[in-house]
Amino acid sequence: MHKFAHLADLHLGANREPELKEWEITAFLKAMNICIEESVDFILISGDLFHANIPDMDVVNKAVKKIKQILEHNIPIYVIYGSHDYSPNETSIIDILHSAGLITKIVQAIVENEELKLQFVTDPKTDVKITGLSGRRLGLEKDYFEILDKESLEREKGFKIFAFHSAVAELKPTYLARMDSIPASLLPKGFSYYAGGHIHEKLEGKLPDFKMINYPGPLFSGYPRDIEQFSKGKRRGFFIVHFNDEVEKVEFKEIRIVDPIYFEYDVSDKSSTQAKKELLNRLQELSVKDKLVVLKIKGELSGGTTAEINSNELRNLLYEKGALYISINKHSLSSKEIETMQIIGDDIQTIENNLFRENIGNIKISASKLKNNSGVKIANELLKTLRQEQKLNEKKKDYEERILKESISILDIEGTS
Amino acid sequence: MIKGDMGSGKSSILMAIEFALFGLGSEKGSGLLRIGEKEGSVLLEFEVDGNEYKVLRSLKRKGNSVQQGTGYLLSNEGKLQLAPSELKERILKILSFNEPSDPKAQSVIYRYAIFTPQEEMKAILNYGADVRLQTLRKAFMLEDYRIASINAANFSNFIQKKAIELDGKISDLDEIKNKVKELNEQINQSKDLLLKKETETKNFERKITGYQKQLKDHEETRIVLSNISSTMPHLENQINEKTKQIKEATQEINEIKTQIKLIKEKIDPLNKIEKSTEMTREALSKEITNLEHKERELLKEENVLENKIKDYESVQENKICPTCDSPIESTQFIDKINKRNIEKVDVEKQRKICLEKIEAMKKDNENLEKYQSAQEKILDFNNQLKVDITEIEKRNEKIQKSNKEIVKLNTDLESSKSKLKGLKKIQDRIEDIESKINDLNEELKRSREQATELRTRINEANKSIIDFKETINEKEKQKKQAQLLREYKIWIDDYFIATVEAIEKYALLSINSEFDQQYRKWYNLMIEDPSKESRIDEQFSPIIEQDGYEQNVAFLSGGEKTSIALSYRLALNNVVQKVSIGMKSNLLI
Repeated sequence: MHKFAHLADLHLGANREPELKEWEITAFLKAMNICIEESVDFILISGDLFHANIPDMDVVNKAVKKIKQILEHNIPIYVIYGSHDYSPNETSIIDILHSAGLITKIVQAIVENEELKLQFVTDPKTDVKITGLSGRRLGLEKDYFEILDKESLEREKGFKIFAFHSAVAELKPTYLARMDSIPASLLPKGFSYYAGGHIHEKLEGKLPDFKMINYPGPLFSGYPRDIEQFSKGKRRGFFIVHFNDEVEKVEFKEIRIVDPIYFEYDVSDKSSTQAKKELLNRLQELSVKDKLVVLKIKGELSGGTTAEINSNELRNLLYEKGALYISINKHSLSSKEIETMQIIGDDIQTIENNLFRENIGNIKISASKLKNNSGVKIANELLKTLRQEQKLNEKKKDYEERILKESISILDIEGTS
Repeated sequence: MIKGDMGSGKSSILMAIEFALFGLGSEKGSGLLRIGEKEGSVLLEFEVDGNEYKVLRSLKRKGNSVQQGTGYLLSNEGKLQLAPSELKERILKILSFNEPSDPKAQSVIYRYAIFTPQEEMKAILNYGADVRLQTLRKAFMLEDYRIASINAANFSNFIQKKAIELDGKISDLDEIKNKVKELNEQINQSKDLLLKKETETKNFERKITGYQKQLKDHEETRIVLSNISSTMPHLENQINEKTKQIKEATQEINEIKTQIKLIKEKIDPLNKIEKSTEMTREALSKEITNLEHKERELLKEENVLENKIKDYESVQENKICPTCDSPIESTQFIDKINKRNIEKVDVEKQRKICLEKIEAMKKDNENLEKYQSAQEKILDFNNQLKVDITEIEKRNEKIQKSNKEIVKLNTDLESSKSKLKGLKKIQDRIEDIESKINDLNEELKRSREQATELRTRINEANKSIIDFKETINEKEKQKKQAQLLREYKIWIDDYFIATVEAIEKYALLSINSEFDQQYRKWYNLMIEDPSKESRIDEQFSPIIEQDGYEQNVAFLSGGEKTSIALSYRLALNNVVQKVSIGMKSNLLI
């Protein structure tokens, strides 16, 4: 019995922050070690081995060292481009590694009579026939699928694997509803194993005509959203597929680098001060030592600003409690106060005048001088006086007296002084 | 557009412009003046709102330091020589930059919105949110509102203090009003009482008049009664007087009788004294004198004999003659002594008889004196007895006379009494009326006094009310003033300060929103990665999010950082220019 490893969406170099960067490469090294231990016949990576076509060279260096070790164990690595490590304009790191003989690109396509024809790559050890289509940004690969010559692929005999880097619409999880996808009908039928990439979640799909469309998801996380999913309990890892003439068994090898914790807090109906106080208290109770913490703060504040729920303060608290890394999401946090405040003037003078005018009706007093237009006029005059800064070389006492005197004169309450 | 190779002096031109406009600020003069030069200057021509200006500033090296010299400003008002700080003040006014004119401060607006030195480009991202917000608040003139709020609060406190002072002055207003109310009530009560009293007085007067009329009807009787009444005590007095006199006379008679008895008792022993001799007292005295003379002669004779005996006895004893000291015979003298002793006894016998005669005669003399004196006293007592008896007779006559008079007086008195008895009913009636009139007069007097008192009270109360009303008027005025001040305070606290705070919020929101829009516009233009969004939060901090999760700016790529910083600068430039009205140009460096 043979076996191969199916990985995807490693996004090496996606993370820039030191902890994440470390976990990202560690996950890769760990997965490769498992492949060696398990003596897989080959490794297939369904796109996005790297996060960019020209990734951080430090990460590349570490990855290449490991790939070389894999090759020394006589385990070939087959890859397709993902949506990230491909560039239509520039050379990709994939091309360089391919040229160096460290990995093998399996997509060999030519367009003939407006039809895309694909060649198979045959693994010499197992005679497995592998082909596939790379991913493109914004789901551009869909055009290729549409002109794909499926027939010739379907005619091929033997253990066939189709690698691709696209979401299959029928299998797409609901939270990725907006993700570009292709219908399953665009895939060639009759392959022994469909090795998917692009969906960042472990998926083992079965559809009519397609026995096995599998997505391993990332080893760690390429995106904050992956981290969120991870912290909510989604398992990370890769598949080891056991086969003879057909797939016998699919085994998921979990990679868990760090323990995550997800905490969600809804601020609705609280002011920024209340929410912050309560949140800090709740976080204080949370056990976060040596954990990756994902914190989602959402809802509409009844007052105050979202900036007052200060991320740095929250981070500091959690770091003090021993958290290894903290990721904060305040995207769905808003403030009623700010939302309900409408812009009531284009320039400051208009805002001043409009607000003075708008509010004068709310004040219940009998002195007619302070009401209506007269009141607004006095308010404007008073503001002009009261907003004056202390002059250079002016003593504080003199300044206060000067302002007071002018104010008294504006309100015409001379008699009382 | 200023274009040129590295080191060709683009920045120097911009620094020169900054220097010309704002002076050195926090820069050092030595950084601007070329090494080796002793002085230098910048002349800048610029135009604001169609007005042309020329400003010149100079630098001078003095020892190790470089300092600003005087400069000038040339405008359509003419050329003005000005000190560096004065120049800055003018320029800020011309440009409508709302910034402190402290010559040591840099122009934040210029630095943020117009010219940012390359090396400070990304610095904006590294500032703490507080510092950034503070700086921006200044640049956007929002600090004004804080100052205005503080000053307004001071003003409001001042007004409140004044109002409280007035409160203190009017704190007794209600009390005074109550007093006036009380006084009015008192007056009303007093008036009611007064009316009653006046009615009462009239009633009394009417009654008195009625009674007095009745009295007149009884006038004659009354006179008779009055006469009788006045005579009767007189009669009684006389009777008493007479009775008293009789009693006195009787007592005197008794006293005289006692005296007579006493005299008679004194006479009795005197009558018993008898006459001892028939000689007169003069004869007796002569005889006594003679006898005494004879007795003295005899005594002398006795002494001579005695001495002779003593001499003889001495001679006999000593046997020597005392005269011639010749010795003598003693026997011769015994006879002599004996003879003499016989002679001496005879003399002594004669003298004793003489003394006894004297004694008897003296006794007779004394008795005679006593007898004569008793006879004299008896005569005196008899005379006295005669007088006493006359006196007793006198008194007895007087008693008889008085008794007669008493009988007469008693008759008169009885007659008056019977007359009175006959008029008793009328008299009672008159007395009754008189007593009633008296009572009524008492009450009338009391009633009149009370009425007077009430009138006084009403007058005093009215006077007090007038005084109080003046005070009330004054205090009402002060109350109105205090109310007005309270309204002013409410107006300042609830309207003015609240609105200023709202203005600040709205202005900040308006600026923030404008800033955010501008920032996103520039950011989206520059950043390729569509998974990364960026916005400006309420504190003007740039927030970069991926999948909604905040990204640490420090770990973004250099290109991303530059894009964010540049977007921030551009947005700031747009907004500051809009807020600072004077900035009509779109100059951005």
